[in-house]
Amino acid sequence: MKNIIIFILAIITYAQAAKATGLSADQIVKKVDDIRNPSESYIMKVEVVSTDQQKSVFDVAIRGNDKTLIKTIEPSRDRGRNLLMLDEDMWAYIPNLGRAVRISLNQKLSGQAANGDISRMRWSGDYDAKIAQEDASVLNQWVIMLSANKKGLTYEKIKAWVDKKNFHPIRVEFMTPAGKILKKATYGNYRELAGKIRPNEIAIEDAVRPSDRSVIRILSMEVKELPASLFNQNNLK
Amino acid sequence: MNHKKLICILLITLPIQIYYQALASASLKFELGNQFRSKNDSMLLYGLTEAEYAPIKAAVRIFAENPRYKLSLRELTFSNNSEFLNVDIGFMHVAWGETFGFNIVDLINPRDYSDPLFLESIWVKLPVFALNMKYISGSLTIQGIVIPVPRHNILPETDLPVDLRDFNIEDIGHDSEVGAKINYLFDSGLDLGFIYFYHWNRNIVLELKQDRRLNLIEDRIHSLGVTASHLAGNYVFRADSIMHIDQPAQVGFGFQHGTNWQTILGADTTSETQWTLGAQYHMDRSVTDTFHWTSVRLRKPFFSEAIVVETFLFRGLNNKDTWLQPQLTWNISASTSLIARLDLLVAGDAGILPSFKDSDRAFAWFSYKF
Repeated sequence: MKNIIIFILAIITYAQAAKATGLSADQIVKKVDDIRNPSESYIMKVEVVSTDQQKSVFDVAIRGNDKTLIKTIEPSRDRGRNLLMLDEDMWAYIPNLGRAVRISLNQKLSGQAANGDISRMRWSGDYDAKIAQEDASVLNQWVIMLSANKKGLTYEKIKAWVDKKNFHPIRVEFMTPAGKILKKATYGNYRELAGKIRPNEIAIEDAVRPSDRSVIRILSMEVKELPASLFNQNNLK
Repeated sequence: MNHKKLICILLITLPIQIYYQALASASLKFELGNQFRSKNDSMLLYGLTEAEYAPIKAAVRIFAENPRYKLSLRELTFSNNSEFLNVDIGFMHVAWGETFGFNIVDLINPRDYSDPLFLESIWVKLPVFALNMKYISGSLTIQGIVIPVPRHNILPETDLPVDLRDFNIEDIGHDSEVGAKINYLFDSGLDLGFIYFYHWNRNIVLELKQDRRLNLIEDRIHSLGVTASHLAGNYVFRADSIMHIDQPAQVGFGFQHGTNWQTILGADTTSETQWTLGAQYHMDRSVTDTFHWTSVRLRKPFFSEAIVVETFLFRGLNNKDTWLQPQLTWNISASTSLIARLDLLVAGDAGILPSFKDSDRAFAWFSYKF
């Protein structure tokens, strides 16, 4: 009986928490995005280390919600195999063919670049957000449910736990439309990057193959104006 | 001995490469390959170095095949990106097509027909000096290309001398080649491009003259094409089609003008377990014949891409052309790869492979990237 009362109180407290701050779910998501992404246009160097200790390093150029250019730095044998993402469309430059080849969603989801891609995802604008109330065990966190409001996004649903004190993302689940968890991410090692305290480390676990884990480290981040012509499939090389 | 000399040359350039790497955040690649041909038991050794230090990119290749050496500049370009405009100038390759195996709409670069089938397409395409501009506005890309001094194909070796037209710098404007591509990426995922190129014919047509010399027939022709790709879930649909209007075509020891129409249609998909399967239909209609083929491509990486197995099969539908190309890639370390490939050929009297039958070959190359 005591537990039930505590549980009900927790739900009430939790439900009122967001109301108390006066912020909507969309506003919270926007603030979380501002912590993860310094501006509309920026570059970062990202290291991805997998459980088998394979290390990849990428130079990532980002403009807006939908334009990303990923250049492989390590392993050096893959240098030149650059990836361009324009919304849901993706091209890979194949050096031996000397051409950009369009690739499918499953090819996008494989490999370390896909994990690196998670680090740059903006949620605001692409997802409708609402504050979920089913997880009352964490009173100092919001649980935000995000549903894709446009076609072709890699993950249709996202569930994010956000620290109420500072809008820091804590952990995230990336899901299929049916709610099946594909990947889990945990944000940590907050430190100053591009003038603000941001997560420096993201641990990613493949929910389908739990032994498949990667750690993303943001080695550097810099706000930079990037020309639109850089993000064009006809210009990928 | 020749091979030793080549290795020496490449090794001598290594300190320069290392210095260059230390000096700047350049991308450098060093590749050493060996090809064995069953037809004449010949061995070919090559070295390739590539360097990129934005905005300049350069690549040089050295061939050694007894008794000849060949040093060729593969790329030397300067690039500039502004908000809406990209400008490349220099010796370059340009890729326009979407399909795989044969690049029928990649018209900008002439070809090295001395070894046209078996190497990577980036090897077969000869770099041209060009001004390549792209205007980019949202989903629309308008590309314009000018090649002031055209370049000949490298012809297969013949016993007879071949007369070629001279392309000179003084004839800019008269001889130059110009082209354009307009491309639009629709919200539906359709990436559609239209191509126009006014150029010297890229196919080889030889006329036997009375003095037992061969004359290479070269005419400036108009080519019109369309290229498209469409992403639908895990399937990518691809199409390339090109029409060469009033192009000379070989007929016996002479030639005849007519329209040549080539088309490739295909689709490919990748499974959750990373099997990639692609299939294509190929068609080539000329003044003399119409040929049909089909091709299949299979790819599967193992052990986190440490081993990659690939196979390409090209088979004639109304001819006996058969080309099987299995390839095994072993990514030994983060910097090094060892690749082995076989080209197995069967051909009848018709199709595009008859001149290559009995040309089975094994090809292996070692790649090291700094």
